[in-house]
Parts: sequence; structure tokens; C-alpha cells
Amino acid sequence: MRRYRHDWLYSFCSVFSMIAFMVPMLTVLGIRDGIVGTLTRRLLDNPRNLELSPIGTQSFKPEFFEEVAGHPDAAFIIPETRAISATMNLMAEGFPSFDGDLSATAPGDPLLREAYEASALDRPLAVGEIFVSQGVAEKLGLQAGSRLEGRVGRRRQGRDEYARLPLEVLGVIPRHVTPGYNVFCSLDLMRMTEDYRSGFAIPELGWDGAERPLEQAPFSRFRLYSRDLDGVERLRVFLLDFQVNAVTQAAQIRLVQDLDHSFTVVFLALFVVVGGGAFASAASGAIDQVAKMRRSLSVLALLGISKFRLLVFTACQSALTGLLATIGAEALFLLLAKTLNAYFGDSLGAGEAVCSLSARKLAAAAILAILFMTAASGCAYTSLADIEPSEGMRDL
Amino acid sequence: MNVPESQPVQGRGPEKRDDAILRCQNLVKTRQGGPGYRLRVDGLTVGQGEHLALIGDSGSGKSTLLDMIAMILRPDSADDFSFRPVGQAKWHDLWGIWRRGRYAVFETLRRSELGYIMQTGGLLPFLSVADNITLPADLKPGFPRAEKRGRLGDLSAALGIAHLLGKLPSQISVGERQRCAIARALIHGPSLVLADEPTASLDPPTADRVFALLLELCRDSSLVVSTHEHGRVRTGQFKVWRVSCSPGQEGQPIEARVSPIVDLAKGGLPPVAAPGQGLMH
Repeated sequence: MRRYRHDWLYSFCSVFSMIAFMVPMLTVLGIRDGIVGTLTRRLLDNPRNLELSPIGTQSFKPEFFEEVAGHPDAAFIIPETRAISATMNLMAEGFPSFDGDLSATAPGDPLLREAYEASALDRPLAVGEIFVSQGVAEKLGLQAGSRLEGRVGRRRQGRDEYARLPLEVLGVIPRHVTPGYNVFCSLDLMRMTEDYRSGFAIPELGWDGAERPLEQAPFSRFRLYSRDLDGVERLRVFLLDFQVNAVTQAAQIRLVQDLDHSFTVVFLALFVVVGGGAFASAASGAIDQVAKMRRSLSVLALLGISKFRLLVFTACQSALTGLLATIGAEALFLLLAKTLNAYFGDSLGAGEAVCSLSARKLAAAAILAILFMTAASGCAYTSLADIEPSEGMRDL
Repeated sequence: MNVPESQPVQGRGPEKRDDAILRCQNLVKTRQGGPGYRLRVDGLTVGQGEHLALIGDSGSGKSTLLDMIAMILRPDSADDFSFRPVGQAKWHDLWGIWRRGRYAVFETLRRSELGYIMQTGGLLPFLSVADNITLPADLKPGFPRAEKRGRLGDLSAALGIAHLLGKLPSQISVGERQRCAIARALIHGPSLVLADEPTASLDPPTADRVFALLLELCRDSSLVVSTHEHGRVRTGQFKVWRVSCSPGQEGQPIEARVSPIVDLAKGGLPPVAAPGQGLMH
């Protein structure tokens, strides 16, 4: 320790050169973890990425849904009606009305998981209950609990007809989950609007028209969700058996996986090159130190201090360097990470980061740094260890 | 200086003495490189309280012998190479310890029983003078604190370095450093003090003073001093041994022999003995 103070300039320099090495390493690793972590979480957080939906319009019978739901990778499937009839005109007081896209939902819908949790709803939606996307909420000034009116129009026997329905908003779905103007309602309501549009009466809602046939028309679309990212592809292939081509977010998934891979490669390359250089410089510094100290070490050996204790003595110094460097580097890193995250804060959601490392990784970095320095001094010490103690004494 | 060869003493064993603390018999050390070099000690004994001077030209092997005695240099072979700390009955078989590689014993002996004064002081640059001096006492197991302080006071007063205790070695003169080295070698009351050219790096007046102080403080200790300054060694104060080299035959290593000198007063030349004839002591 006292030797350490004596050579404060050298110690200072070695601590700083170590910091100079560690900060960029930590930053690259932090950016990798931050960006990839954020993107992966967004991928996973956003059920859209687990979604498969058919291209075009087909006819899907109930048996189809049962069969797909039984697939081990399928987490959730819900039918939808023809896109052309899946709209509803929305009117809220003080706002111009507009058409929202109508989709069916049910408990367990991954897309609306948070919305269901937030509204503490554990039953299917009643006919007048809806979730709206953020886009809709902003256009009509809606929030959970807001009331509005929905209108479904049709043209029958040359006349324009409208059916009206009071609606209650149960929750708003954030933009990153559903970027469009979406209204999620029960499958029943979806079906009713489709039937109404086809000219049928919906007595439950007091909508008039022709009598509904007993046999239901098949659904023409669906939303299917995989349990995980890997299952998406398997489900896509499975759907091909039913002559269904499905759209997936495979490209996005691949992008993040590629990004993760590239970052890892970049980090490893940097680590090898810069780390090798830093190790060489740390070791050469340590060798210099040991050479300078050789006389002192010989004197200590002569005074009866064992080689092992001398090794511990030099190793402790290096470990101390590693420790000080770690404290400095990690403090700098945290500052840098905070700055970066603040700078990019606008594009980040809560809990997301451009640059971040877990406490466990920081601790691992600290241990690595200390081992690194100790190993460097170990290298230096071996240059001394094979010298007979009597030699060092008179050399200088 | 042209010194005639002293003759080897054949078959001469170490003196069997009750007060001996160090015995060497047929102790051999070779060094590689160049024509090679071979140092041989036929028989050498250091008694308790005895002062021994090793003289010889630079490079003759005085330091090699001293290092072997200091247990930091491994001999090649020995019939007997033993050390017995003052006040102990048990002899430590140094050669046996080397052979068995039990270096921890050496470390213990060096810590407790040896004081070593190097040519250039050998103070640790990052410790104060006081800390340098007391280091052996701190390293010696069970050495009382109070005694350490007392001896530090006595030694630094006797050596005239009391005013330097708080300084770093780089802040004091070479002569002062050498006096500190003497204090460090003596503080823990070692059985044997070894001094390797202790005055070689000092100017003559300082050298005289330091040498006198060394002798004065080692009145009651065993002391082995190596020096090439033959003039500094007085017969009355020392038993004098010479390390002398003879160039080996073609392809043979240089032979160095360690043998006693009886009469330093006569120009430091030993009486010439016929080959095979023992030297009178």
C-alpha cells in the first residue's frame, strides 16, 4: 500500500489507462445490451410480432379454428369478418365523427393483454364495450370510461340506413401495440355489424332488417398468435396445409436477431483487439514496475519474505489498480449511459434504454478487470520468479 | 594487486567447536558462462561472536560465498553445510534443505537469524528510514514491540542517524543509507551478520567511519564481511580468509579456493605451503 502511494504517478497512470480501456468496452457492451434488449423486449412486448394473419379473404369454418387452436405453438386465435364490413362510424360529442377499423377480441388476446389487465376484466366483452387504439382515443378525446356512439351503415333497397349503438370505452391500447385507428369489440358485435350490413335484422339491438339465416356465414379472416418468436415460422408452415398464406413479422424478428449478432461480433472483435492491446500495455507496465522493483523485491526476499508473499504483494497492487479502475470506469459508464439515455429519451418507452448494463454484468466486469490486472502482473512476476534471489540484488 | 596463489588445504575439515554457528565442508558452487567458474570451500567454521573477513579481488567469488551463507544461493554440493542459531542446540542442514527444496525454512532463518548489509544499502525506497530499519523486527515472529523501539533508539543514536528516521532513503546521503542498513541488519538481534562490501560505495573517510561503527556494534555478534579493500581489515579484529582464483587449464573452469590467512601484517600474504601440506592456523 505504501509502495502504491510512493509510486502514485505510475499507479495513477495505470488506473487511468485501465479506465480508458474499460469505458469504451462497457459502453459498447452497454449499447448492445441496451439497444438489443430494448428491441427484443419491444418485439416480445409487442404481440404484433407474434401475429399471423391470412393474406386476402377466405372462408374459415369453425373446425378450422378448432384445429389451429390445437396446434402447440398457437397461443390465441380469433376470427374476424370481412375487412369491408369491419368498420364502424364513431361519434363523440364535440369531435368530428370518423370510421374506425373493427376487430374482434376475447380474453387471452395477446394484443390486448395489458388493456385487459388494466381494466381488470376477466370476462368476454359485452356487446357495447370496446377497447380503442390510441389513435382513436386522440381523435375523439376518449379515455377509459368514456362513452360514445357507434354507427353502422348499410344500403338496402336503394336507401341509406344506419343502426346506432351506445358504446363504452374500457381502455386505450398504446400506439406501439396498434398504430392504426382500431376498435376492439366482442366477436358477437362484430358478427352483428356484418349481418346488419348484409341486410339482416339484429333484434337484440333493435336493428331491423331481414331475418337472419340459421347457418352462420363463415369468417373470412382471423388473427393468430404464436406462443413465442420461434413458433411464428412453424405456424406459418402449418397454415400452408390449409392453403392459407399468412403474413408475419419475420423480417423484423430477423432484423433484431441480426442486430444482436452483429453487436456481439463487434463487441468481441473490439474486446479482442483493444483488450489484447490493453493487456499488453498493462503487462508491459507491470513488467517495468517489477523490473524497477526487482531490487526491492530481492531485498524483501533477503529479509526472509517468501516468493509467494512477494507474489501476493505484487498481485494485490495490481488487483488494487483493477479495483480503482473499475470504480472509475463504472462510474463514468453510468454517467455516460445516463447521458445517452437522456439524449435518446424521446424515442424510448418506460424502462427502455439505449445503453444499460445489469448490475450482474457490472459486477462481472469488475471481477474481470481485477483478474485482468492480476493476470497482467502475474505475467510480469513470472519474469522475476525464475531469477535466483541473489541475482536481483546487485544488478541495479 | 598481484597476489600469489594460496595453496589449497587438502582434507581439512571444519573445526569441531562447541561455539560454532556455521560449518562448511567441501562446499562447491559452479557458474556457467565463459570458461566457467568453480568456487570451493574446503573447510570453514564461524564461531559465535567471531568476526570473519573474506578478502579477494572483485569477482573472485566473495559474494557467491556470502550469498550461499545467506541461504539465497544454492550450492552444487557440500559434505557439510550447516547453521545453528545462537542459543539453539539443533543444527540446520542447509544443504539438505536445498536438496529437499524446503525453502520456507530458509525464509524463517533469514527472517530471524540473519542480518545482511548490502554494498549499496538496499533500503526500500518506499519506506521511511525508520520503517526500513524496523522491518526485520516486524518480520521476526514474536519480536517485542518495546524492544524494537528501544533498539531503534539505541542503534540510530549509536550510528548517528536518529535525525533521519522520518526521511525517505532518497533524501539521505549514501553514507547515511549505509549506516541505516547496518541498523537494519542488527535490529532483530540476528545470530549472524553478513556484510557484502559494506563500504565499497563510500568515500574513504566515510568508509572508515562506517566500518568502525559496524565493528563496534557487532562486538557481540558473529560477523562475516567481504571486502576487496584488504587494508581495512586488521588481524586483531578479524580472522581473515582469502578467496583466490587460479585460471583453469584449457577448457577447465576457473578454480576459486577459500583458505585462511594467518598473518595480514606481512602485506596480507599467506605463507606458502607445499602442495598437500596443511596450513598452520
